[in-house]
Amino acid sequence: MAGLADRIGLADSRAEERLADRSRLGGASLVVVAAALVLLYGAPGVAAAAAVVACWLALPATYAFALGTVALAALAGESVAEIALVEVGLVGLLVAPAGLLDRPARPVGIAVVAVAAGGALAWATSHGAIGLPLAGLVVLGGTALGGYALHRYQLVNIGLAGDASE
Amino acid sequence: MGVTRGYWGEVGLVVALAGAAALLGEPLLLVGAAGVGGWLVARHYAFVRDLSGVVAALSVSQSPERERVTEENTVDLTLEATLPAPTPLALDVETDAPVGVRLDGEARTTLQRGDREATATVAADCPLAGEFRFDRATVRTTDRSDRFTAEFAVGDPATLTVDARAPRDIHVGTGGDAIGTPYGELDTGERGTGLDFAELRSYVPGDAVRNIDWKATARSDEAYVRTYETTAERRTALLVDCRTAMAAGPSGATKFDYLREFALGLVTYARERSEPLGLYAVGDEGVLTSRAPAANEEAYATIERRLREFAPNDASGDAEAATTDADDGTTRADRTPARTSPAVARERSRLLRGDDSAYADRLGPFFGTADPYVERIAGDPLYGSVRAGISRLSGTVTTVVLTDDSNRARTRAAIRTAARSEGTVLAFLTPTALFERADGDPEATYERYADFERYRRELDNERGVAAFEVAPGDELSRLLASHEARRRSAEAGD
Repeated sequence: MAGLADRIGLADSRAEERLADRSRLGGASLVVVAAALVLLYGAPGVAAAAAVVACWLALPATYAFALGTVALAALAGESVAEIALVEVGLVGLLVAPAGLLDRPARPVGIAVVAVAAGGALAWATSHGAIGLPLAGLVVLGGTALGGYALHRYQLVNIGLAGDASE
Repeated sequence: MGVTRGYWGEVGLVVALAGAAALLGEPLLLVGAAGVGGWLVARHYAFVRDLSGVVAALSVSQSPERERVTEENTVDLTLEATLPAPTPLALDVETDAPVGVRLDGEARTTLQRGDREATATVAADCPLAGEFRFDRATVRTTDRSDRFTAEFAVGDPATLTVDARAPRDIHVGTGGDAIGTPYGELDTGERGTGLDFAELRSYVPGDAVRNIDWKATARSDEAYVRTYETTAERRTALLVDCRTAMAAGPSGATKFDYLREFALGLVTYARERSEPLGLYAVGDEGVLTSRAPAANEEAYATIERRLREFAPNDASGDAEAATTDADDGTTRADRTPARTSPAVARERSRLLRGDDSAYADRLGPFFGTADPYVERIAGDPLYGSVRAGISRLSGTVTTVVLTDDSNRARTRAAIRTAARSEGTVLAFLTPTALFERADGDPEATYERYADFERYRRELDNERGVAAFEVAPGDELSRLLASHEARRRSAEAGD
C-alpha cells in the first residue's frame, strides 16, 4: 500500500510522518525521554537513550515508544515517579504525529486513555490483583475490539456492509 | 476497508509487548502494548471520522463530451470530483472504460489533501457500435500514516451510445429514379364497410338500405349506394439477408449497411403507426432469428437492436474481399461480435482446439457452441425461411425482402413463395455491380447494373411483387451520368 500512498501524491507517508515528528512536541518529548534515561539510570540509560533516538530517526514513532518502554522496563526500579517521568516523554513521542491530523484532540485522548489503562493494568498485576497473562489478553482484546468496531462502523457508514466487492 | 503492512507491523508490536509482559513478568510492558494498541485505534478512529465526512460530501461526475457518437470516432470523457470543504484525506478518483471503448490514458484524478475539486479529461476511442456504460467512479484513499485504506464507488454511471457508421446517400428507386416512399398507406384494393368514402355505384339487391345515397338517387332514375374503402391491419415481416455476399462494399457502406439503414427506417415507420412488425434473418447456413409480427415497443426495440447487431459473415471464403479496410489491418470480422458470425465462431474454436491453456479451456465451449442459428436449413436459407416461417403466418402479411442480386434464382423462388400466400411482397435489392466495381471499366459496371435492372423488372412483374433497388445514390448517379455522357459522345461521333 505504500504504492497507493505514492500514487495519490503522498510522496512518502513515512517521511511525512517523521516530518511531523520533527515538531516541537516530538523534539521536546525526545529530549525529555533521553534526559530522563540518562539522568536516572546512568550508563545503561545513555545506551537506552541512544537506542531510542536512533529508532526515532529511522522508524515511525510507535517503534521508538515501544523501544523506550522496553528500555524502561529493563532499567526501572520501584519508583513510580521515575517511571511516570519517562512515560510522559514516551507518550509525547507516540502522539507527536497527531500533527498530521485535522482534529487531533480526540485521537490523542484515546491514546492517552489507553496508556493510562495500561498503567492501571500494570499496577493491578504488580499488586497481584490480576495475572499478567490475563492482563495481556485484556490489552490484546481491547485493541482488537476497538479495531473491529471501527471497521464495522466504517462499512455500515459508507454503505459497504454486505457488498462482496469490499 | 483495508489495512497496510505498517498496520500489521504495529499489531505485531502489541502482541510482542503483551506476550513479553506475560512471559518475562514485566508489567511495565503492558503499558507499551496498551500505548501502541491505543494509538493504532486512535488513528483508525481519525481515519473513519474523516472518511465518513468525505463520503457524505464528495460529488463525482463523469461525463462524455457527447452522449452519442459515431463508430470509430473519439470523444472526450471528463471526470470531476468536488467537495464543499477542503478534503482531510488525499483521494484518488478513477473510472474504467467498458469493454469496447479504449481510453487514451488513465481516467484518473487526484484530490490532494486540502483541495476541493479536481478534474481530468481523457479521450475515449469508440471502435465498436453499441451502448456502453461507464460504471460508477472508484475512489481510493489512505490515511496520512499509511496504515488504513478504503475504496468505494461514488457518483452515477455514464452512458455513451456509439452509432454504427451508416451510409447517408441511400437511394431507393427503380432504374436510377428515386421514389418517394414505397411503403405508404396500404390500399387493400377491396371495397366494403369502412370509414373512407370510395365511390357511388348502382344499387343491387342485398345492399343495405342505410348505404343508399338518397341525394344521388333523387337526381337520377335509379338508386345508388355509397361504398367505403376497407382498411385492414397490415402485418409486415422483414426478411433480411445476412449472408456473406451482403458484406461486399467499403466499410460502413456495404450492401448490408444500406439495407440495414433502410430497414431501420421501416421499423420507425411501423412504430409510428403501431403496425405489427416481425423479423426473419438468414445467414449462410440457416435462420438467425425468427420473430413473428407484433405491435409493441419491445418488439420494435428488439428488431432495431438485432438489425444493429447483425453483421454478414465475411470471415470464411472471400475474407480478403473488401473487408481488410481498417488502418490497423483488422478485418470487419475481427471487429464484429462473433455471436452473429458462425464462421468466425468456428474459426476461433478451431484455433483454440490445440491450446491446452486455462484460457482456451475457458473460452473453447463458448465458441464451440456459439452458433447463432435458430434453425439450420439444408437448401437456400432465404427460401427456407419463407417456407418455414413467413408462409405460416395467418392473415394478410406484407413481406419485405432485403437482399441482393447474387442468388437470383433462389431469391426469385423465395419471393414467389411469399407472394403465393395472402399478401404482398416488397423486394429491396442492392445491385452487386455498385458494390464490387470492375476497376477501370465503368462501362462494364454499367452493363452489370443494367443486367441487375432487368432482373429487378422481372421480379417486379411477378404477381403480388413490387421490386426496388437500394443503392449508394452518389455512386449510381455518377454511373448513369458517365454512361449517358459516353452514349452522347458516341452518338456525336457518329
